[in-house]
Amino acid sequence: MPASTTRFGWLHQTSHFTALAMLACLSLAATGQGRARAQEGIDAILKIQRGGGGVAAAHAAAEKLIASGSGLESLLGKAGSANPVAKNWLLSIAQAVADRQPAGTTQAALERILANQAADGEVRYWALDRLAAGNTELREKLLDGRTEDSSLDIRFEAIQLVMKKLPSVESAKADEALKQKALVGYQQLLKAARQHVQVNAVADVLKELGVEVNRRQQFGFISNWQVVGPFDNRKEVGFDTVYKPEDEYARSNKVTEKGTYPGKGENSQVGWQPVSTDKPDGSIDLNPVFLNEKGAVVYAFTTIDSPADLDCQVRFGSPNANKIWVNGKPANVNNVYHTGSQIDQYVAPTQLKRGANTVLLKLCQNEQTEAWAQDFSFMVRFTDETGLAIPVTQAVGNPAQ
Amino acid sequence: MIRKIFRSAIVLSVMLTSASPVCLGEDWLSFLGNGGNGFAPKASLPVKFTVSAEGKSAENVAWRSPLPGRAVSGPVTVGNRIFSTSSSGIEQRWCEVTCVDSQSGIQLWTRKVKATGRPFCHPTSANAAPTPCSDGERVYAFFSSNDLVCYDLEGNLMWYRGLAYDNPKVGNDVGMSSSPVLAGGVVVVQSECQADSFAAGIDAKTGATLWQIERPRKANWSSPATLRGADGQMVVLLQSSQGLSAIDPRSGSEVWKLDEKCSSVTTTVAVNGRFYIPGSNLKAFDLPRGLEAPKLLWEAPRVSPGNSSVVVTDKAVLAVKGSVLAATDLDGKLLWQTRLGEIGSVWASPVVAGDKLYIFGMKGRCVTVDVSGSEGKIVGESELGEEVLGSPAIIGNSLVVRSVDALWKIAADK
Repeated sequence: MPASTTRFGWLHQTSHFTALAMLACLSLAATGQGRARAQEGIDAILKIQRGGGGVAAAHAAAEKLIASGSGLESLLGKAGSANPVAKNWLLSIAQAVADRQPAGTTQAALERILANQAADGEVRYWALDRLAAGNTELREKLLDGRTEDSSLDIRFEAIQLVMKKLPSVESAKADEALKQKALVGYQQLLKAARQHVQVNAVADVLKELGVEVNRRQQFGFISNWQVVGPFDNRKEVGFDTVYKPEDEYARSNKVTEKGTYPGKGENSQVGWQPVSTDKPDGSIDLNPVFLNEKGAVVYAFTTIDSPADLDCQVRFGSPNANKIWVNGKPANVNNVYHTGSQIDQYVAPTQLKRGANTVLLKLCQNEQTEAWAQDFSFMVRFTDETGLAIPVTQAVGNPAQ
Repeated sequence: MIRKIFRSAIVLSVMLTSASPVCLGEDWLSFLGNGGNGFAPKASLPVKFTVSAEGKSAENVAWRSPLPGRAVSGPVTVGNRIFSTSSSGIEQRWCEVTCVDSQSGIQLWTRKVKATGRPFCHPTSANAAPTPCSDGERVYAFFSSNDLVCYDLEGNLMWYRGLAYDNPKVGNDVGMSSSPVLAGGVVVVQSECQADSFAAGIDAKTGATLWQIERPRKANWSSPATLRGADGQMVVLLQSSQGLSAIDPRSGSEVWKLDEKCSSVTTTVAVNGRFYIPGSNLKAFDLPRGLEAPKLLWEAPRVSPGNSSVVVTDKAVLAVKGSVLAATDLDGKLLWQTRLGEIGSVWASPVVAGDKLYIFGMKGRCVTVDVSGSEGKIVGESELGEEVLGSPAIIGNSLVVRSVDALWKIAADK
């Protein structure tokens, strides 16, 4: 069903502004005084703080910035260094400002913003979206050749577009030349894609064309772990209880491979045991190892080798409450049970150093009895800030040292 | 006229009518409408509509306006403008608000912010799950990612809050659907999950936080409701499995509390001097007087709503559980129960126009039930052909439906 709607932009908006007032505002904006005032307004927005500090001042500033028709580039120039809340303010103001101006007057500015690969990715995506509003043909033209764009939003959409244009699986299967074209195209997309759903979609097509992608490797999931447990988590007491492996790791950045610890049951002693996965999503299922134990804490430990010193992200997923440490430092904490698990469910900044790095996870299973609350699993990978896997390596079996 | 769905409006006439919102006196300003009970007593809608499988023809469908991304929120209306939220892009991280002209279906403006909180949700849901609200001058849109934004009716940013930026551990990966309410110049939001749950009162004019209180650390999808007590005091009702609290919207202080285990999915409805709490049974209470707690009037075990909130008309309380619609009179006496046939899962709260109830199944099947008689009589069944999980709005003699993909206006062909 075709779209039955269009935008008609600035014309109806002007009904609330006399032409004189608008001209005056635009004239003022063009002057040095206008620019100084606009900068004051932008500065007020950049001062918005966590907790809502500065919102009242930003509210007043937004009203003036919209009315004065501030230039889009000056409005959005500092968006990249703004906190995410302030950036949304600036983007929203820019949208209102752009609506008030005839399309032709903003086009050049929007094109410059889009062309500037160093500019903020979300701002650039908005510029593209704005330029192509209601014009599918122009949108496709603007997305063309941008499958490796620095903006993840633009990259994602550009890859989606190429996927639509590549030969279909059916046609590729029927024609060798088309198949080769599709294979080359999809393999390029596999390198470019970052978002996990899209990576899987590309890998699905390649599989249809006879090329099996090692998804676990593609995503960089860590396959080999040592696990120990169960420790007590009845009534969810375990999340904040520091059991011995955690204490040991916090003090020494390592665990004792052959050590045993008092476990959950009376007089029980538990020790480390190796687990590994070859699943595409890198998930480790703890239920077979711990016999579906409920009310349990399990620790998972591993060592990985990084090719370099890196500021990076640890991305992990689990349906269970969890804590994660990297090289002895807490990286993330989530006291949440059974709201699903997915690739990159939790993302936290961290650092890897060249050579050996340690990772410890604490995973807590509660005592819910519902069928959907039985999973006890986790998955972990390290990536750059775009989601590209860091090629960490592991010794086979990964013995804890 | 069969082909109205593709009718192209004359831009000039739309511009003239849309240049500023026209107050029709029939606004639908929030989830379940202005009365908060899903009831438009004077509205008269066609009992049935049709959309052909090819989408090329339609009956009693004024227009369809495709929207970006997806949504399970409901629309709100102010004058001749309809406001609907969407979430689009990677992981539905773009939180969008679109203003649509109610006569033509033409989109007047769209605004977007990038989610600062967790946008994840069950595949059937969306980041755009809460229904926005309006005071007739501004629209307040809340998202599962806890982004809260206020625009005036022209799309000018009034203020924006990233409440997950302020409360980094808040987030419900099944999807949070609690719709905001307005009370005494305060936007009240309720965001409850297993981590840092909170309710907050945000100044509707400036976006400043007036108060924030901790809430139970348990997932809750229900929405706040407003209630004016017998003494005239306006309170906001916050429900959870741990009770129902009446909150002063200006200060966030608790005025009174009922130790009732409330539903964490459907919402309390307050209307005509009573309020109706969904739980394992539906319970009706009278208005509180001063600091006295409200008194239980009746309890109706067979009228416990499933996933959608109850509708209260001037004669009946109507609740859907599974595929059964049940009605009690206002004293809790069961009047009738009617099977809704093959409606499937129901998430959208029904609405009543005049004496006809309209309820959408998740797959887009709409069942119209005449609720005026001694039994509920199905008088129309229609297929929209798109998923519907948000409660519709009623504007004049039209039904405005937000499907997952688009906004629809259902109205009698002229």
